[in-house]
Amino acid sequence: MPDVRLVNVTKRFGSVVAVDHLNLHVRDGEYFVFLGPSGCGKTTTLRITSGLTEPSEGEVYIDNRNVSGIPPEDRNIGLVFQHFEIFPFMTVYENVAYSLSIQGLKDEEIDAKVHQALEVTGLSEVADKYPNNLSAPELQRCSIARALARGSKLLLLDEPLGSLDPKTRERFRFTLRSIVKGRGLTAIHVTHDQEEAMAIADRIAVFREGRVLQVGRPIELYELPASIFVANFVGETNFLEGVVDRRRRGKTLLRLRGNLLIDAGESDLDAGSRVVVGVRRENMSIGQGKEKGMNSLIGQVVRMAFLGKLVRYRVELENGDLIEVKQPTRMGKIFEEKERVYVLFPSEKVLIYPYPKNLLYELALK
Amino acid sequence: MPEIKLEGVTKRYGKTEAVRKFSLTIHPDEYFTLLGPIGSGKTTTLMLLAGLIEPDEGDIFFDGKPMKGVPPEDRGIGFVFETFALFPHYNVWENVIYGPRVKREDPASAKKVADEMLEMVLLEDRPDALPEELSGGMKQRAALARALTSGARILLLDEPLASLDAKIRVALASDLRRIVKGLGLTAIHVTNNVEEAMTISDRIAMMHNGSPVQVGTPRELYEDPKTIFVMDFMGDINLFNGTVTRSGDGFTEVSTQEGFLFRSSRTTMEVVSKVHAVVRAEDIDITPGGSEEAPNKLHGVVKEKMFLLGFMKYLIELKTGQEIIVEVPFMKRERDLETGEDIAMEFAPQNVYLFQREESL
Repeated sequence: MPDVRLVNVTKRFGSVVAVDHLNLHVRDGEYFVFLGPSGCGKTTTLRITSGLTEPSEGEVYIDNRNVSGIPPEDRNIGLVFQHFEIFPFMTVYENVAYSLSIQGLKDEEIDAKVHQALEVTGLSEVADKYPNNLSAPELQRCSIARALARGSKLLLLDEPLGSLDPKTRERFRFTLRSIVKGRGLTAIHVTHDQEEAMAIADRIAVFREGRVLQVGRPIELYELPASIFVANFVGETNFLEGVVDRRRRGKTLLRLRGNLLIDAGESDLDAGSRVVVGVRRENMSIGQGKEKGMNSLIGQVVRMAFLGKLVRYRVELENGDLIEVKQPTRMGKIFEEKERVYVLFPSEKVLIYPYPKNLLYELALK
Repeated sequence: MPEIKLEGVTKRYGKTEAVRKFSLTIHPDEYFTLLGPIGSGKTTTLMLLAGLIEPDEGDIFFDGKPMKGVPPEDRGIGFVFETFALFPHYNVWENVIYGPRVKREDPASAKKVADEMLEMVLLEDRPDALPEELSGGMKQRAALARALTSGARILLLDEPLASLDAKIRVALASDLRRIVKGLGLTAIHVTNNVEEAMTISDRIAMMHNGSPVQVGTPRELYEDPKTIFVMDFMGDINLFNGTVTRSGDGFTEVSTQEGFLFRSSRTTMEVVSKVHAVVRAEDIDITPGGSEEAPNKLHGVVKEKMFLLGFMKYLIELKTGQEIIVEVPFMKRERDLETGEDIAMEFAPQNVYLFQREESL
């Protein structure tokens, strides 16, 4: 069961720095996700880990072994890509057996390994089928089976769910995670889909412009995002600008635009500081009146979208700011467009950040 | 703007009926979505509306006018695809003005329309940018502006958001709706993404095997699904097979094959009917209750848990070995359940959906 350490890893393409002095430690048996927008360096970092790309600087250690200069096939890793890379002229069985046969293993040994890999991935019944008779999720299981049959203890997955339709993708998350956990593998999974990352990972590294901005468990990234970018990229967050009015006994009173006052809870910011606050859409609710112990801001519903289990509202506050709220449908009345409502949220759900040098840059999704 | 009508439209490829006896009226100014899995006939329908292919049977009418034999360029449509279909060597402005130029429209009025469209898609400050210099979302907005400058009154969109990052997709979905509504267009949008369809549409046709299984507003599809397929496509469901054992007083009681007793207040079914009883993951509550047996109560062990944005999703193994999915919104969650934990669950009779079951199933 290998761990993976990246030490000072840097990759330049011409004058572009794709990966910038990156340090990361993926622990033994961990399901680890690289998350970030396109062009953030997550795939390049995965390719460097696999040996498909050589770093310009820095080292990669797999199981405490410096693998610099070692080709991918000798790193004892399984690679799974978005596109399945299955040989079309071989059956499922033959695809899974292929790399074992070129390793020169005995037939019985190959057979045992292939059968085990097919069983774990739920493919035993389609072993004799050709790829063009398989569904997309079966093809992806096949590439995972191939990686498992080789006995790789480290799985590197590049957008492995990207080619599946949304419904299947969601189900496949359970499958993938239970295969990895059930066999005690270490997995590094690259995705741009924040929900996928949250659902599947033990820990996540959020990438931007070749650097890692934050590493943490899903709940840590969700509840304590270290920067405005992370709060915005992970989850759906409303941001409001304000100034600290006063602070006392665990309360930070903020004055928003239009002199709206809210309590942002505990902070160490002094009166007069400019701040940006973030509140997640699902941490706000819509009601007909003020509620005790809650921040209550008056507004008007400008758009209501019924999403099934959720209702999404866009509400215009008195100061003209727009707020989006996602409310579980079962939690209350559904409000229509143009209705006057209160946006309610508790102070402990308010994330507070010093006003950044460049707010637009912090909020950009790339 | 125009009303669109399909009457018994069928399209075959060899022996396969890609679209089967499809009849539908799309109202003027409506934002309409064809939602369904791959191979359900939604893209074929869009191509039929565009005139890129002709139906084998049936007719299509725009504002009462039959479209048979009318070529795509004379149908007053704009087309937006999944991939952006911009000329790579033209900048944004040249791409957007291309249609009017080819049609030799009056340059002054063409420029005016193109300016308006660029403003509408929020690209008025990027007319000189080449496609490769734009983000995915910007490229798709430029493609939209281009589709609209030729005076389209109907907008056909084939998975227009599919190649964008998840985050950008949500933002662009609401832009799309705003633009379509602002111009008073009739829009037909194809997607396999439920949240996108629900966010953007006035009405949705849920497609399955070449024809719609249900047409309605997002709320109608969710609250009153006509088939299990519709329910399943829209979210996580738990399905039980059973037989109706009692009916009356506004309740139908079902005994499931696993031995559970379910009570539904949604549908009346006759005693001894074979049914599927379906309960959505988000309609099941975790309760502190003990292990007593009662209608609409279940007990099980937490097998897996997933942290989603705003929800915890749990995979629960019932005593019978069956696995069910339960979702708890953060706002209602008192604490996180641990894997291996024994829990009690319940759900309300109005959340038990019943569907007739064929004996063979």
